[in-house]
Amino acid sequence: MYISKRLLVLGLVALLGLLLSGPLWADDPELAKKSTLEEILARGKIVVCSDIPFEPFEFEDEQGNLVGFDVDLIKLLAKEMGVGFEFKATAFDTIIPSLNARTCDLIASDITATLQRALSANFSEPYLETGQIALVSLNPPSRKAIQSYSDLNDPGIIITVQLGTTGEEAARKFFPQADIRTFDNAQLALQEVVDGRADAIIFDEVFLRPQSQNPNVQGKAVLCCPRNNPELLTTEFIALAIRKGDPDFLTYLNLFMEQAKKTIKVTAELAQEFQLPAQTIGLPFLQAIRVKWGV
Amino acid sequence: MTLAARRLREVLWIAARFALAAALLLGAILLIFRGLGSNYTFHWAEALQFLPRFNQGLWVTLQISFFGALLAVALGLVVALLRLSPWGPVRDLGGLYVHTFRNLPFLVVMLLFYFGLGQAIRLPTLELFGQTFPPQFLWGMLSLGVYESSYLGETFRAGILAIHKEQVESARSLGMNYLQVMRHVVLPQALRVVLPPMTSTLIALVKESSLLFLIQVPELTNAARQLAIPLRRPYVFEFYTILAGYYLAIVVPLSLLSNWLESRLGAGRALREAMRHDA
Amino acid sequence: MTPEMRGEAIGWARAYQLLKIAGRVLFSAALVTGTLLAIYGILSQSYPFRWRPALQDLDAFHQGLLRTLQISLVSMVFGTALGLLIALARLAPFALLRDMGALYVHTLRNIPFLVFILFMYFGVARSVIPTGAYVPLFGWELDARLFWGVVALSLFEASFISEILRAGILSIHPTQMESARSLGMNYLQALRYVILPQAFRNILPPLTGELIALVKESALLMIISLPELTLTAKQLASQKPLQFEFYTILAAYYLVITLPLAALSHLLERRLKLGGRE
Repeated sequence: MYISKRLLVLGLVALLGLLLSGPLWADDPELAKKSTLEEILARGKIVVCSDIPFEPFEFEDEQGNLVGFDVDLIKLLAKEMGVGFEFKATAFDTIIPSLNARTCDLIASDITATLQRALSANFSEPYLETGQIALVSLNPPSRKAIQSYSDLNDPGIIITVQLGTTGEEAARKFFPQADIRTFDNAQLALQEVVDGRADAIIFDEVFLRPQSQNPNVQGKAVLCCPRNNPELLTTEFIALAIRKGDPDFLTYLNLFMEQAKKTIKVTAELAQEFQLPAQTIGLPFLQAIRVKWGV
Repeated sequence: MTLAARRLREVLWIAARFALAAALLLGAILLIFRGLGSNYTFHWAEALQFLPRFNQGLWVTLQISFFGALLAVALGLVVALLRLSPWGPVRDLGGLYVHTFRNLPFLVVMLLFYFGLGQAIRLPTLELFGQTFPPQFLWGMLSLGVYESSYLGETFRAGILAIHKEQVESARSLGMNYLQVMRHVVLPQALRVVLPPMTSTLIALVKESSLLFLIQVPELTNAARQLAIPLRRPYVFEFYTILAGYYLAIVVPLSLLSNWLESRLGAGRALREAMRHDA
Repeated sequence: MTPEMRGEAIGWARAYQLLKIAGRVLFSAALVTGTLLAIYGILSQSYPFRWRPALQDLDAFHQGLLRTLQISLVSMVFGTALGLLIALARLAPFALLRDMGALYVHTLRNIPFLVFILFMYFGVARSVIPTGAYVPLFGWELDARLFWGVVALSLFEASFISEILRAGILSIHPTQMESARSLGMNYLQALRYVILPQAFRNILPPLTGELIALVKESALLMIISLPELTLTAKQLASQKPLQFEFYTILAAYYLVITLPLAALSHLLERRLKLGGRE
C-alpha cells in the first residue's frame, strides 16, 4: 500500500505529540478531594482564625457585631464561594499552630507574610501593604523625648510589643538595647504607652494610625518617628494564611485576590455596605474597604 | 425563747458582726487608695450592664468544671488502683504520675497539653446535646481532669486504705462475698472518708478553670478580660471585682457544703489536712 | 545452730533482701522508662521533635529559674510575716479583729490567684492607683510588675499561711499559755518564747508545702509580663515553632524546684512527727 511520506511524518508527529502530552493529562482527583476548599464547600462555612479584637481588622462594634477590614474581606470571599463564615478568637502568637491543628481553615488577622512563617504555612497574594512604626508616650517613664528611631535604641527605654508579631521582630532587630516587653494582646501593649508605663510601642502602621486618633490616646501619645509623620521601619505585606500541602485552595485564594484587586462584581448587599453603585464592576473593592476602615 | 428563735438570733448577730467588719475593711482599703493618690470614680452601674456576658462565661465555666470533675474522678480511681496494686513497679508508675502532676503548676500542664500534645494529637470539634465543644474546650477539660486526678487518686487511695482490713475480714466471715462486702461495708465508709476532700478538689478545679482563658475557652475570666479593655470601657476595676464576685459565688457555697459534709461525716479531717492542695 | 551458722544465715538473708530490692528498683525503672519511651514514640509519629534548637536556649531558662526563685522566696517571707499578723488577729480577744481576719482569709482563699492578680494589677495598680513603670520604694526604683507581682503573691499566700500558723498555735495546749501568763509574761511574750517555738515543729511541714504551692502560683505572674520561667518559655515558643519542646523543658525546670521541696517536706514531716509529743 502506498502511504505517502507526508502522511507518515504527520502520523509520527501526532503520535509523538500524544505521548509527550501525557503529563498534561495527569491531574490528581484525589488531591483535589483533600483540599480545604472541598471541606469548606461541604461544610458550607469558612472558619477563620483571628486575633479578636484587633481594630480595625476584626473587632466588635457597639451592638456586639463582628466588624472590620478582615471581616469584610472574608465576607466577600464567602459570598463568592457561596458559603457562610465564622471567626474564631485565637491568640496571635500561636495562630499558625492553631491553623495547623485544624482549628480553622485560614488565618485572616493582619498577618504579615514572612519567610520564617512561610516555613510553617502558605500565604496568599497580599491584600495590604504596610510597615512598622512607633507610638511614643508623651509622658514616658524614661523622661526622654523620643524624636528619632535611634533614640529608641537605648537601655533605659521600655518598648512594648505583641508577642509573636513582626513588631516584636522589628523591635528586637532595630532596638536590641531597649527593654522589650511582650504582651499577649495589642491592647495591653498599647495601654502601657498611653498610661506612661512604657516609652513606645512598635506596631503596624495600619493599626497605630487609627489608634492615634482615639480621643483616649490623643494628648498622651503620638506617632513617631519623626513625630506625627513617621517613616516606616519595615515594608510588609499582609496576606491570608492557609495550611501547607493544599495547592488548590492556594490557587483559588490567589485568583480571588487578583480579581478583588482588579475587577470584582460587587453584590447589591455589599454595594450598600460600602456605599457604591449597585452591580459595580471593575472597582478596586479593597480600596473601598480601606477607605471605610481608614487603613 | 425557742431553739429556732435563738439560732436565728445567733445567725443575725454573726451577720451583723461580719457586715461591720466588711464595712471597716472596705473603708480601710478605700482610705489606702485615696492615700496613694487615687482619684478614680467608680462606675458600677455601667459595668453591671455587662452581666449577661459574664453569665455566658459562667455557663462555660460550670460546664467545663463538671466534665473536668467527672474525668478527674474516673482517672483518679484508676490511679488509686495503680497505687494500691500488689506489684511494686505498677505502684511506682502510679507514683510517677501523681508526683509529676502534683508538683507542676496547672498553667504549665495546660500549656503542655494544648500547645504540646495538641500539635501531635488533633482533637475534633464535638457536637453533643446541641452544644459545640471545640478542641480548646476538650483540651481544657482533659488538662483539668488529668491534673486533679493526681490529687483525687491519693484521696481515693487513702480512703480505701482507711477501711480496716478487719472489717473486710469480719464481713467475709459473716458469709458476704466480695461484691457484697464492697457495697455494704467498704464503699459506704470509704465514701464518708473521701467526700470532704473530693469537694475540696472540686473547688480547686473550679478555681484552676480560670486559667483556661489562655487557650481561648470562652469562660468567666475570658469574658472579663474581653470586657476590660481600658480604651473602650474604662471600668477595669469594676469588671475584675465582679469577676471575683462570681468566683466567690460559686466557690463559697461549695466550701460551706464541704464543711457541712465534714461535720456530718466526721472522718475526713485528718485526711484533708494531709492533702492540702488548695493551690 | 551454732553462732557461726546463724551469722551466715543472716548474711544470706540480708543478701537476698538486697537482691529483691535491686530487682524491684530495676523493674520499676524499666517499666517507667518503657512507658515514657512508648508515649514519646507514639507522639513522634505525628510531631517532629527537634530538641537541639530548643536546648540552645537553656540560658534563658536558667535566668527565668533564678527570677522565679527570687520572686518566690521574697513573697514567702512577706507572706509569712503578714500571715502571722492575720493569724494573731484571728486569735485576738476582739470580735471585730477576728471577723476582719476571717473575712480576709475566706475571701482570698475562695478566688483563683489568677483573678486576684488581674484584680490587683489591672484593676488596682493601673486603674485605681495610677502606677507608672517604676514604683519608688525607699529610694529605689522597683519595676512595677515585680512590685505588684510580689505584693499580690504575698497577700494571697498570707491567707493560706495564716491558717497554717493559726492551726499550729492552737495545737499547743492552752495550759502552756496559762503557765506563761502566770509567770508574768504578756500575751506577745508568751507567744514568742513559749508557744511559737513549740508550734514551729507542727508548722514546718505544711509551711514547706505552702512554699511549693507558692512557687506553682508564681507561674501565673507571666500574665503581667513579669519575666520568670513561664514567660520565658512562652516568648521562646513564639520565636521558634518548638512549642512542645519548650513546654516540656519548662515542666522539667519546675520539677527541679518543686520535687526537692516536696521531698524536704516529706522528710520534715517524718522527722518532726517521730520526735515530738502529740
